[in-house]
Amino acid sequence: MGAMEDAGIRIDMDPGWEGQIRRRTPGLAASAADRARVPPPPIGGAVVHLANFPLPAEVGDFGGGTAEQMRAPHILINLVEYDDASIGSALFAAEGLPRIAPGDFDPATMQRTIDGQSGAQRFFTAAGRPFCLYVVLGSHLRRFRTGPVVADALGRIEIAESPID
Amino acid sequence: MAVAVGLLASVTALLAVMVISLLRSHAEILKALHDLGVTLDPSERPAAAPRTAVGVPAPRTGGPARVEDLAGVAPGGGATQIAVVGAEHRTLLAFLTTGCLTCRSFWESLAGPVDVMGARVVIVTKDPSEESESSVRGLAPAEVPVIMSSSAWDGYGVEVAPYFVLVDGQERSVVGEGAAATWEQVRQLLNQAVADASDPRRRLSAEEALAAAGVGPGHGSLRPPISGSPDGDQATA
Repeated sequence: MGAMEDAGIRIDMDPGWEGQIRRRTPGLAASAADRARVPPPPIGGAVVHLANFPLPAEVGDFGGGTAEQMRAPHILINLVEYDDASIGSALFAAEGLPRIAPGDFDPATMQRTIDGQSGAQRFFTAAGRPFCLYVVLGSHLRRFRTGPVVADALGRIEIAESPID
Repeated sequence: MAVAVGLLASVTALLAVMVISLLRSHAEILKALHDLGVTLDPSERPAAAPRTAVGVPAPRTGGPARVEDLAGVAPGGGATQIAVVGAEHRTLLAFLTTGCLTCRSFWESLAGPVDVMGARVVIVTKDPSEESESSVRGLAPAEVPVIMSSSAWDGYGVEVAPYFVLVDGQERSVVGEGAAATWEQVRQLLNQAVADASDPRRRLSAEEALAAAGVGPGHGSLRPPISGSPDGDQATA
């Protein structure tokens, strides 16, 4: 499989993985939990979904509508871009796409708790662009097996400078 | 008298030269045609290629398509890739356009649940440069992934719409494919393809099938009977 590229983001796709890179639209709102912590991501910001299972036709910014379909080996990676006002804030101080270790996954991180699943969320800035990374595992018990797969998938993501239009 | 004989001889000689020239020219034409693979011998002429009825898409030439993942853009914009190869499930690729009337019924029916052999249905249209993106957005069912990808049309060798390709991701093969006007026809087409694929007799290669029937190299049935032979004896070398 080749590379997927849009909105200044390039991803080398592994076989069996599928994904989307799109611009955020008004119809797909951030979750209430995120709104409470940070301003909502801006309209027009990049949104990325990567999954090793079939993605539904419509996916919420943070993977809404997909977690229910996930089974034990499944991984969902969401990347949501925030606006320039977030640059330099403490929340987005981390530089570069973060590494996520198996121990970083926590069932309590799920935006909507689903039995057996866990998630990990990180805010960071890459190429001058602030992002939120939110990863969901289909099975918290398998995190030491799927964790390295997540790390490999994240390593396939390249972010270039690209101001939000 | 001598003049008349001489004149007649000259005319005869001239005619002979002309006939020889014509024969030579004819031979050269025949040789050129032969070199081009054209034969005027009816017994050597291949049978005319079969053609489908008017309005019925011709079958694919060149064998089944190579199975590949889908890469293109989403109707709402942005890059998208859909995994087909290695997928745990079968994928039914529905190659549709927004313009054809037959396609319209498939777009509409996919707004509700459609079960075709338990496969995941993915609608594939051509790129936005060849297809109306706003029309695709308007027709796209909420529950069915839609990808705009002319490269998928090329990769799967699709030339008509609506056209359906059932892919077995684990086997990395096309289970069945074809053009159909209704879901019933699609199911029938694919059921036949699956039944054919699972028939062990059809899985054998031609050589294996002949060997299984006891027909090997040099077998008498591989030689045509001598014309006029009363008991159909086989020719011998």
